[in-house]
Amino acid sequence: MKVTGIVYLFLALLLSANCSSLLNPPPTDIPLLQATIPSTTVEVNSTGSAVIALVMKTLTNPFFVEMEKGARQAEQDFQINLIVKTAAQETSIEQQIEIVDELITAQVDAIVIAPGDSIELIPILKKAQDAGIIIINIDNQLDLEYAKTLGLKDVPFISVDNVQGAYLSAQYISHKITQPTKAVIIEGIRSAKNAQQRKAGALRAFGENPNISVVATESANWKIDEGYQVTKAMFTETPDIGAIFCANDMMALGAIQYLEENNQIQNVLVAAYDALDQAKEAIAAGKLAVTIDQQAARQGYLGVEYAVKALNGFELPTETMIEVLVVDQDGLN
Amino acid sequence: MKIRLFSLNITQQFIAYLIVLSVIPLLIIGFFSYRFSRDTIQEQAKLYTLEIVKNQRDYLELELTQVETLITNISGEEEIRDALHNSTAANNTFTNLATQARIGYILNGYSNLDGLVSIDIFTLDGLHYYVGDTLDVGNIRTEVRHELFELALNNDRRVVWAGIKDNVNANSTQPQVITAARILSRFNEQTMQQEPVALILVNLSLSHVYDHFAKIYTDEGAFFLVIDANQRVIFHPDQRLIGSQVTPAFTRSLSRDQGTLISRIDNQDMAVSYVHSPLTGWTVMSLVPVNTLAAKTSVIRASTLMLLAISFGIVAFFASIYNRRMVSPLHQIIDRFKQLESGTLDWNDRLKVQGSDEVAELIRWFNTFLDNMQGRQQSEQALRESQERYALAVKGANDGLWDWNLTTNNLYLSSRWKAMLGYTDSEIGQSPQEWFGRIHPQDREPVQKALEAHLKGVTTHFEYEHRLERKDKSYCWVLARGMSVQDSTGAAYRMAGSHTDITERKQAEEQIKLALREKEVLLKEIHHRVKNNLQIISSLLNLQSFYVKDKHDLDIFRESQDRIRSMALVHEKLYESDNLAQINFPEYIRGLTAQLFQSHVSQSKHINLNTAIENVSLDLDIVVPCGLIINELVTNAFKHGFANSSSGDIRIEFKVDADQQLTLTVSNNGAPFPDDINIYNTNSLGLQLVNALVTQLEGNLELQRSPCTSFRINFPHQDNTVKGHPNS
Repeated sequence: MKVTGIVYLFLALLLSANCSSLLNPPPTDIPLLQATIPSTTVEVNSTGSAVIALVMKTLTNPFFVEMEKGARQAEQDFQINLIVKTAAQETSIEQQIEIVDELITAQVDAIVIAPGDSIELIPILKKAQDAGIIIINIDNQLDLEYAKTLGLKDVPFISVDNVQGAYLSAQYISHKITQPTKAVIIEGIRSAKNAQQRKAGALRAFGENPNISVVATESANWKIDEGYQVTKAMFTETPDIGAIFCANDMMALGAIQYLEENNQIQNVLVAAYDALDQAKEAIAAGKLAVTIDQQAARQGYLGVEYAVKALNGFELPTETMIEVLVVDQDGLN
Repeated sequence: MKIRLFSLNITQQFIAYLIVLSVIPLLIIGFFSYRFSRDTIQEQAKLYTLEIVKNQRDYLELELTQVETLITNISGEEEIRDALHNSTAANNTFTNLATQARIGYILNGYSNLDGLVSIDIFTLDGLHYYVGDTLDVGNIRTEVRHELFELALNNDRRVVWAGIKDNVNANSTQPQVITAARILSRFNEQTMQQEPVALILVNLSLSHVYDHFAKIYTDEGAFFLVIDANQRVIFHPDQRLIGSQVTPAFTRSLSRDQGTLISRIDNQDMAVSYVHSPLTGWTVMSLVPVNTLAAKTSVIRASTLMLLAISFGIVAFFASIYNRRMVSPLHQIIDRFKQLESGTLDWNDRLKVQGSDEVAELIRWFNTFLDNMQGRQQSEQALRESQERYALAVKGANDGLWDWNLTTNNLYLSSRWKAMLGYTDSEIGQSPQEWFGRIHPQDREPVQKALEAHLKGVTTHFEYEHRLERKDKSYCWVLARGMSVQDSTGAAYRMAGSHTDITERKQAEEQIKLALREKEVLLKEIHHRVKNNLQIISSLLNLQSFYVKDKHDLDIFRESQDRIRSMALVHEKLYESDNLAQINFPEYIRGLTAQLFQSHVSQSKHINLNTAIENVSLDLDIVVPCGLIINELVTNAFKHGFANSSSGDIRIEFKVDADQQLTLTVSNNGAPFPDDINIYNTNSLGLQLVNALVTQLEGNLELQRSPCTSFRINFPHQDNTVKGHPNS
């Protein structure tokens, strides 16, 4: 009918009037992005997968690089999200505490920690455990007594038998000593349990050889430069030292540096611990007698694996010891 | 257009007025308010968005400036510079590890910056100092390192922002990072020139930037975009698109330092607000769909549209009402008029009246008009039919018709009327005299009287037989009949009727009357002669009786004489009366009894006669037997009842019962009737005669002996013999 026709006409007019295209001609279309989509993507949050933090002592010790590699392998194998945190130096206990505190805030699911100190980290780890975070102890054992006192419990521990390892290392040079010889021990951080254990192991091995007399035992805090300094100080005091046991390779490398500088390297037997690549090189060069491979990567891997198991509700052994391997010139070949 | 406008019907005009008066202004206001508010809101939104984009650019620059400061600080570290200067001198494990450790400690101090992935220092000697998300730096992408080195070397800025890059450390958890690079150089005293020593790289996490921008609230469909100097996407809400390349066509449109523009991107109109960052060469921008901006004004548009829709609805509503109440009835009336004109109108169909407005009034009056038309049509039809019928009747009937207009005194006379008198149509005019003048002079006055009587209302109709003079001067008989029509006052103004030619009937009547009269005369003559003959017989018997001496014989003579006289009396009465078939019974009885008393009663005897005779006329068949019976019984009374007494009464009764039974009673108080005589079986001639006559009358005879002798005869009357009074 004509009436509705008129109404439609006006409606059409109205609609066309409201269409902006009437006044602004449509611009030609521009694609925003080129069609190729980058193959790599940004990982913001691996949603769903558990977040496990690996907290290590220092970024300057290759031992921990190995440990991280092992942990990374576990990250791949167990499809978890691994955060690696490291204190700057072996002595940066406060920094480690801070790292754990941050991880509590970040609400990670588990912390696999190689504590720089067996005592000082217990309170913050207790706090983490209270926040529902699984704690796995690797490398250096937390003080069980103090942990008990503070209520930190059921923390599985993965490490090597430090006493045994140190014993094997010290014994290796001890066997070569047939004449009365002065020996020294360069310890790790004294409040660290593994430092104490390694010292004990070394003392035991040296004690078994009546030719050896331990003239000094000093701490170089696990560090290469302090190892150099302590060695220097020891030789200044006692120039005829014939054997040195270093609680780790880094300190041993510091000691070797001093011995090389003072042309003493042929006269002194050096036993070390950790089996770093650099230490192995030194063994190959005949500068270092022996070192102990405590399978850092294995520790890292196992630490993450235990964390995953704990998250899945598995019972874990309170203590897991990894076999130590003696690395000497023969072993390298 | 003018012609078109005028050709609109009333409803369309009404709609046009409504639209012009209400809808169009609303449309204009709605349209412009929508346009202006939309433009204003869009402008404001653009400005606001640009401001936000600037803020984001500033934030980004602030963050990146921190990184630059960090790089500057690192490069300023004494120990690092020393280590780098001496790196070539002592190249052994201890130095490397020790330097690594020292620099590591320093770098670690800087690594707490948010979003920092790693800090790398690559010396030209191939040493690598590093702190970051992993300790494992065994897998360095040398081509990336080289590229960055070249970039930093060839750039004027101390810190170069390379934008989004593959992480130089392939082992890192972050495959792509935002990289800042700086060349560390030293002054070569030998060449007297600055020469590069190391490359410092700081890698920032993409997810850190992503987290920041993703947190900013944006409208539906709107998003931020950050692209680096190489047009690679640093931030896009869709993570998968980070690192992809922006099209040159798009970057070309971002030619100025900052600005806003609307362009069609991926088939959607987007308002783009962009700001270049002079620090990095990056561009921060926000893309907002124009629809989203327009959405804020959509309320105005929606409400305007809704109002318009409502307006149109109202217009349509009222138009339909208007159409139904006004235009449609008009159309119907027009259609009816067309049908009326073409003769196809259904006369019984009436338009429906709704409401009480002018249109309803129009329809009502139209219906009334139709009613009247129909009434007139029907009456015209009826009139036509009646006229036809009348004409047929007039043509078919022999009657002459007349129609007298009393007002004009015109008299219409039909052709038949004129022909009845032997005239042609033209020979007679319209004067009433044409009728009245031809009336026979003897009839004129009574006709006049009869007419007046009717016109005065005395008679309901006029009817009179009279004679009319024909053309040949002879008279014809006509039966004039007519009726008048009165007006409201009762005065007649018209009268019409017919004249039927009854001449033949009249003549026939005359002939019949004549023949009847002749017959009557003849009958009277016969009766007279019968009576005379009977009287002669009676006289002969009388004369002969003089010769009879025997009393008994004489009685026989006298009885016979009486009997003959009673019969003669019948004939006498008959010819004396007008009625030749019937005889007035009481009169006859009086004559009969008078004769009987005269012949039987001597002077000495005082016999009274009582009669109670109902006044009826009876046929001869009844009168003759009844006369003979009365003659016999009265004679018997005289002879036997009053033979020895000188006085007494004789009574004769005759009456007609309700059931038309006739009863004749003859009684006397003389000597009682002898008990030994059986009236039904007797030797007496008289009684035998009576019995015979009763039988002839089909009646019965009863005798009552006491208190007085009384004979009663009941008989049925035959036919309509009994009539009223003889006078009638």
